[in-house]
Amino acid sequence: MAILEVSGISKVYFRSGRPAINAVKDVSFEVNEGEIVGFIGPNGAGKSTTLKIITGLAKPTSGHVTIEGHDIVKERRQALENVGAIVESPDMYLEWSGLENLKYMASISKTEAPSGEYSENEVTTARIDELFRLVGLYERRKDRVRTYSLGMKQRLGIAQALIAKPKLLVLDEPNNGLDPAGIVEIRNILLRLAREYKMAVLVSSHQLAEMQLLCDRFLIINKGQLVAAPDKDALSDQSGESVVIISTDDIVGAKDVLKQKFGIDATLKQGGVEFKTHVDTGEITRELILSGISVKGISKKETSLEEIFMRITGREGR
Amino acid sequence: MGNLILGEIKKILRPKALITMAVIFIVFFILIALFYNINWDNFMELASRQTGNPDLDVDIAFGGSDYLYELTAENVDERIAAYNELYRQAIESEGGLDYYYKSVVTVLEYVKVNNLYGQELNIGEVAGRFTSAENFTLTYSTTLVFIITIYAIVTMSGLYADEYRNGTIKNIMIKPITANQLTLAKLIAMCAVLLGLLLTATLIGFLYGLAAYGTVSTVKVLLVFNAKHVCSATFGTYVLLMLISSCISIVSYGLLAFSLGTLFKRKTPAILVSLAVCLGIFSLVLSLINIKRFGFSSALSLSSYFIPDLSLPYKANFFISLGMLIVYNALFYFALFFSTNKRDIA
Repeated sequence: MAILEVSGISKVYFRSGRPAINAVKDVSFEVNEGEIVGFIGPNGAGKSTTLKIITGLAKPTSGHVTIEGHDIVKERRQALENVGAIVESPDMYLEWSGLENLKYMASISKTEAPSGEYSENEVTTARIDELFRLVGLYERRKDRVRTYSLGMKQRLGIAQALIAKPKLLVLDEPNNGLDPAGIVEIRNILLRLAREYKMAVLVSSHQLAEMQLLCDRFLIINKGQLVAAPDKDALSDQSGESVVIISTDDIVGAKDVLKQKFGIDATLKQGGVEFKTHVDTGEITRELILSGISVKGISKKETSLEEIFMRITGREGR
Repeated sequence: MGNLILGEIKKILRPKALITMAVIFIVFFILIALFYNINWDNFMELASRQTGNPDLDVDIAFGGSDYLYELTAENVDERIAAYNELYRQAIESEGGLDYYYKSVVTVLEYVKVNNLYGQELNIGEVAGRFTSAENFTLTYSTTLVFIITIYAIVTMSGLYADEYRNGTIKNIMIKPITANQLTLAKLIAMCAVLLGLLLTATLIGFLYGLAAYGTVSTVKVLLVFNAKHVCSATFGTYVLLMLISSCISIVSYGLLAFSLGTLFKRKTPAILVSLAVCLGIFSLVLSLINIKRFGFSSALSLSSYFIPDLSLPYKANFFISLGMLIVYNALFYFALFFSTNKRDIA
């Protein structure tokens, strides 16, 4: 079930009454419950603008965003009741403690308790403690945010985004300032939220390797346009080919068979051949063996999200 | 909404800001208390030197009601005619003071009709003659209001501007609240803080005055409303009237700073423009091009319409001022509405 529906949104920034920047152009996508979608693109591609439109911080020039069926412009309050977000950076009140910040955010997060799930009072006590434990800040919750590191602020930002048990979580660069252990922790938290609580998560990040580990699906945006939307399984299919390495003593024979049977131009490597193909590796192995080539090993190198990203955004080799 | 307001109050009442305000208040209070005594001593000395009758002279010299001096049934018509002539000249010259002369004529006619010759009449502000808790409060609150106005301008200019600068506006506005609710919460919170501040400081001043000088709550004063109507009230009522007028003035200057700070998303230009308006710089410019009557600070002088005031502009009128005040504040609120609703938040 789609929690977030983005339909043909565009955003034009005007200067002196004239269109100056077309930041987002006709972008459409959905995010379903229990799904983690990675939103990636180079700097200035329109990621943050799109996230701002989704969270109601900016108005689209055209198009619609609905969250749980509520239009973000026309039914702002109802739409945002189901949203937790960090946009750009987790800015908090620095002179307040983490606890004070979360209490304040809790107090304005829901206008009424949702159908007996938890009362407002519970939001400000047990729920807040639970969130501090979840993001590993329980011991520091009474310290002023001014004394927090960037990573701690990031965790606090995630805690405030989760405060009202949202159905849609929108996170802009949630791993900023986190150490490797912190990144793993946040990944596990997000995976748990999506899998156990069926939360729909839209996350933007430049850390593509981490995104590949975290997300079920990706949206690649470039120059304001959505240019690709591969899912995790289809990553290798984006180019239509996978990189295959076959280990054999008869590298010349293997190269010939590949050319004759499949029309593949393989590259000779020490102890094997390497080539790109969309042909099933089992079939290739069978043909090689039938042709008398001894195959010592076969491995398929998956195309990384980074490679696809670089290729799609035209940054390869730059 | 209640939670929003409480949150805004908490943001305004930062410990650092509270300590700064408390220090300024204590220093200011001590200075006022000292100067009030010194002034009183000077009045007495001057009055004694001039006539040997301090009570009478101080009232005339500093009460601003010399038109009542030695007023009798025989000279009242002559005096009314003289002030009417001054009023006519003021109207012709279009240079102001017309309101004052018209008020004086109204008072003189009131005395004539009610046969109040030779009686002790206190017109509005009773300066010097009654060194009392009320008088001290009035003197003290004049400066207090100025300080609180500056505080209101500085604080209100940052109500949104600080949220934009720190990025916290994004965190608030992704919660299920509307910009109008947040604006209203900020306004109510600020008004509550300002009112609390003004009342607390005034109460402290009054209690000090009570201990030092005693009360004159039973003394009646005459109020001349809009230069046309005379009514009798206690001095305490007059002080209260001044405080209400001051509250309106403080909130209006604050609203100006609030709207400018939100429009510019920056505090400094909002503070500078609001201070320029508050200190009368814009009024001065308006008076140079002869439209002082429609100046913002003129519109804020509502308390001046209860005494024969010398500072009101040409053809001043309470209801025009009230109307202007409403229009100006509506404009400021519209600027706020535009800034928070029609523009992107981030």
